[in-house]
Amino acid sequence: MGKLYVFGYNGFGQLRPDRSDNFLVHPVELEATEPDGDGDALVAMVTASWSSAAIFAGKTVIMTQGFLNAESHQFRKFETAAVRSSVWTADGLVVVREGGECVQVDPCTGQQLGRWNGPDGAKFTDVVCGESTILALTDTGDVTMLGDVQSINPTPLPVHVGENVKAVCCGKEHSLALTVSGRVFSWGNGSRGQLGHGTTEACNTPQVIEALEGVTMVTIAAGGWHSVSVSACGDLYVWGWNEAGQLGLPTSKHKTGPSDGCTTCTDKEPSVSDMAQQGDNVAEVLVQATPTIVDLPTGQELSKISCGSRHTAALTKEGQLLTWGWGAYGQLGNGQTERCEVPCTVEFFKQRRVTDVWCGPWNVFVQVDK
Amino acid sequence: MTTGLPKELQGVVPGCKKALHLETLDKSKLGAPFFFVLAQSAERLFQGRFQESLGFATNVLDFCWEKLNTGHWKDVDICWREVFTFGSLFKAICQYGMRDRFNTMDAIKTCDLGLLMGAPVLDNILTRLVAVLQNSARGTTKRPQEQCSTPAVASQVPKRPRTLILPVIDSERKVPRVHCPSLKSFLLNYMRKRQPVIIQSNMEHWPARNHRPWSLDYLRQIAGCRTVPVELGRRYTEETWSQALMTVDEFIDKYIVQKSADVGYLAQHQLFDQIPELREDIRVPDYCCLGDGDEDDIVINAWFGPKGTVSPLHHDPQHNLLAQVVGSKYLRLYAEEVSDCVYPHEGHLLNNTSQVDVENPDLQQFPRFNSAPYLECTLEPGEMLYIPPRYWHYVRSLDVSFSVSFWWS
Repeated sequence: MGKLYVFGYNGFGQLRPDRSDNFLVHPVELEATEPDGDGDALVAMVTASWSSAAIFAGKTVIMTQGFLNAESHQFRKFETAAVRSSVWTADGLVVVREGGECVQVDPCTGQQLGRWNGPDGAKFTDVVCGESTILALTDTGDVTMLGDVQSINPTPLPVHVGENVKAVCCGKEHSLALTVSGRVFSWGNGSRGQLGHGTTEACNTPQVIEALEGVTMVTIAAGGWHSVSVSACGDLYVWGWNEAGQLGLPTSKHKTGPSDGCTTCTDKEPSVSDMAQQGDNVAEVLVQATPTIVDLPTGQELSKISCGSRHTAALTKEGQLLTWGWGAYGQLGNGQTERCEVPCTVEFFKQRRVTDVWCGPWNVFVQVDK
Repeated sequence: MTTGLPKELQGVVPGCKKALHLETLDKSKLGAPFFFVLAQSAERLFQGRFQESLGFATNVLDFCWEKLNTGHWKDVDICWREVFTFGSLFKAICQYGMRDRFNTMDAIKTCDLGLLMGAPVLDNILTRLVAVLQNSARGTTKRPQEQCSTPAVASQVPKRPRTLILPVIDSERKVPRVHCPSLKSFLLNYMRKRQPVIIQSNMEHWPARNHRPWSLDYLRQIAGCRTVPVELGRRYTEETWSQALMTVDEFIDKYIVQKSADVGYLAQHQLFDQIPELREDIRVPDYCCLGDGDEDDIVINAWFGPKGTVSPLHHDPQHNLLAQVVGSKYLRLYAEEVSDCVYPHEGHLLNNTSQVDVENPDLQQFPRFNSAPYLECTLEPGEMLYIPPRYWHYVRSLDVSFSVSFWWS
């Protein structure tokens, strides 16, 4: 049993079609406008674009909200064959079914519009999307490119990683792959250090991130221009652009007072922003081209991470939610619109147990135990 | 007939949403959701619903900002820069219309960001809007430095004897000086021969050197509240180099008047497109009409900074006339033929830049550098230096300096 909370950008009603607020700074419940028996169904996953959201209740019920059919503040609910992965592309909604087919569906009705064939008949397991690339993962651990969003190219192009891949994700201009052995590969544009190879050079083919060799990673996530991973020991690694503090590293050299830092943190452990406020000259980081570890308040361990365009959310094993980075649309869920450059526990969920989190570009969806 | 817009703006801003001609924008590139938000902002604007319009305009600007930061700047479709301008236009009008919450300076800053990052629309409407806003601001607000609570900051360069320690220029390596050559003489003796030369007495008619002499006070008066890009850090080849946006007042206060440990340089900025009033104070040299290029393609850049700004040794693809308006600069020049003695960086991004620190060369790393012939000079106010295409040049300001460069083909 679960309950979904939402906060952040709502300009198209993609969080709450019944509300005209441009954004929500405090978490609110997601309300299906057609309440029925499965209002308490566990949400299997959420996938959100800039202007819409698709909430998968169970695996066969999809609720879509936001800009649909050329209109804003829409809501649809329909049933479909079981879905295991999904992503919004410029053209619409792409899903991977439990049976392993990857198809494009109409986000208002679920009607199938197009289909990709797996390479050599292989089944798909996952689909992800960047600004102009759609990547899919097969059950043989292969990564394929489903072509760019402008055309449904029915034949996917293989992307050579050289090892069995268990997860892929995309930022706006880069991609990450996590292998079964726990290594991380990256490719694409690197101008903000998001590839983690120590430079700002682009890389056309997947290269292993040398700095992470020797550490086993268990999960990865990509934001607009940043990358995040968690190791088997529970350490958080970050790299890429830190212009809004989305890496959890300091953004300004000279801190002059509390209003510059995160004012909503009540976590007691000393944090990097605390140090800066005491007048220390902490070096700012704008681009982190090599992965670095970020300490979490109170030394918690992470179970899941998710990134928006310029913010990051993380779920701890104890069921707490941490957010940091850009907050102008309330996407940090702390009632403020300031950026936060340190991972902070979201107050609203302190008395609850968070079980899952998914980020849209400028918002966050949180599942909580009832 | 506009019902919503503040009356001072009605001369500059179109009267209705239709007059914006948003339908001429490429919806297939912008996407239906984005276009929807843009249209919503426009609609509410003309209804006088500024708060709502501002919300949507902010969405537009934030979405555009992400597009402008995706991929290489030069590859970003111009439509994103155009809609960034529209977003800035709507936001500035809303801020001006909500003067209980925002002040005119906020609206001016919004226009400036639109001018800096956007592409002109509606016959360069932001330039016209900012002029109206500046007039409105001047009528009612004090000049910013009068509100400054730290009285120690002076508004002009403190009076002191000119004790500049000028570099000793080797007479064998002096850049030649010539007094206002004819167009023909300049073309044949200098452009065609790729010969650097300092042209004297060619700026006497510039208002900036004449009846509207540029001083810190004058610049504050004309452009103090305007937001400009400033380069921070000793030189662009170093890791600590970055860019920041600030008003001209802030730049002068922090980096010119105060003895800041950090160097700030208003460098390579097309200030005269942004602030047409300053454009009136300079004159494009006639020599820029020589060559293949179009007069309209002449690029004019401002270079304004304190003593000690450095441009590392580099070359540019076009002809350059560097006009010194205020203050002096030391320059050293190396011909293209000795490029292998100046050790250009590898990689296509920096291969027009030398690895060598000209005034403190590491001769172990760069042994051939000292054997390369060069020319040098101190460029004084009222002089302009001709730098041929692909001619290496190194620049250091000897005092508070304002130069204007003209690039042409």
